[in-house]
Amino acid sequence: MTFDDLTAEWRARDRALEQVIARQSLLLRETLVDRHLEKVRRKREMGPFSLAIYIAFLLGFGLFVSANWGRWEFVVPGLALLIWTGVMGALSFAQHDRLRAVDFSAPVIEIQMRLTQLRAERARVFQWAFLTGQILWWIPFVIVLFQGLFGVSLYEVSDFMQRFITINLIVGVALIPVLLWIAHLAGPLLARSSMGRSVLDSFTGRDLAEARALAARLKTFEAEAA
Amino acid sequence: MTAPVAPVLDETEEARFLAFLSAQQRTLYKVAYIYCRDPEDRRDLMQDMAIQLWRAFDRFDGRSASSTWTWRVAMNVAISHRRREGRRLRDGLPLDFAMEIADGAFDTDSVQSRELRALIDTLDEVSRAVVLLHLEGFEHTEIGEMLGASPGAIATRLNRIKTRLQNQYAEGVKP
Repeated sequence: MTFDDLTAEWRARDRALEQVIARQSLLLRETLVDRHLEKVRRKREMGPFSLAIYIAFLLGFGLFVSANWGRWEFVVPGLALLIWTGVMGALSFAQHDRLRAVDFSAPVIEIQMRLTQLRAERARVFQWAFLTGQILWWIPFVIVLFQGLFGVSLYEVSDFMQRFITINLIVGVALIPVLLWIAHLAGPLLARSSMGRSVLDSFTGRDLAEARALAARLKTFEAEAA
Repeated sequence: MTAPVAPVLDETEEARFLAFLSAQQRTLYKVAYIYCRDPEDRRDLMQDMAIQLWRAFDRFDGRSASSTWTWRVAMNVAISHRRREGRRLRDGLPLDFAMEIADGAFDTDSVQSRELRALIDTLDEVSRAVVLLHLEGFEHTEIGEMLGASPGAIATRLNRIKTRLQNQYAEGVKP
């Protein structure tokens, strides 16, 4: 078996495909109506509903911080949530825009290096969003929620509450390495579903490792010829 | 303050794209065949390629041949294709491509097909592109231009792949 044999076979199949496509094209032209092409091109990272929620959270945290300015036990968690939400949203928008700006018609190796870099950045952001988010969106968020919506200071609910808050924050930080370890252990189980695999890959940094491996393969391409 | 004006759909551009897409389906299918073994994955990938072609269509300035442009976009999408991405846009594009019919015509069961599939399965993303373009009859220089590598690098890679094919056949490797 040589490459010439494969080429001959490939061309024979290509001719058969060409005949099928010729018939298909007629069918295609008849069904191309109202396909919302422009909508596809304008698709953004967030839809109007998600964007409205995102802005509402930013505004809410901002108002909370300004209303409680000087009361640092509320300003600190409110500000942390405001910064986290703002930074994560901005990073997400920026990455999406950079991805959309990639010219896919440029040479393959150049584009793949660029995409690999973007993918690695995205994986890193997702990983840290999850690891830090599990701390901020628990105790600090509950403190802000109760004070902001009901005017209840969780610090004063009981004597135990301050210790409870401190313990939870410490546990949240300690959970970071534990979560990474559990995710590696539970990987095969979660990876049975595409959604589970997707979250897991980003969470554990496997996306990052894949991106690095692809970048390494691309770099060796030219080196081989030397 | 004036209200934002919705972009006017350029029907001429849309019609041009649809005609273009119709003419490029064979290329898209062949790229999808090389990068996806599973027919469902191939369908997803073809949708992703069509989406990216449409997004990039207004940037196509005609400086390179439309076929070269399509090969590049299709291969770039295929290499970076992830099943979870682009799903939300599925069915958003007019790729009414009968995969079963195309598979019936192209994905035949022969010794050569099995050897090719076995070979492809062992190759990395860029090597698959090299094989595909070589099978399509492109010269080393053209392949190099599409991939962004020197003709020497392409020749070296192709020689390695050919050797691998011969070894594979000699060892009786079957998919």
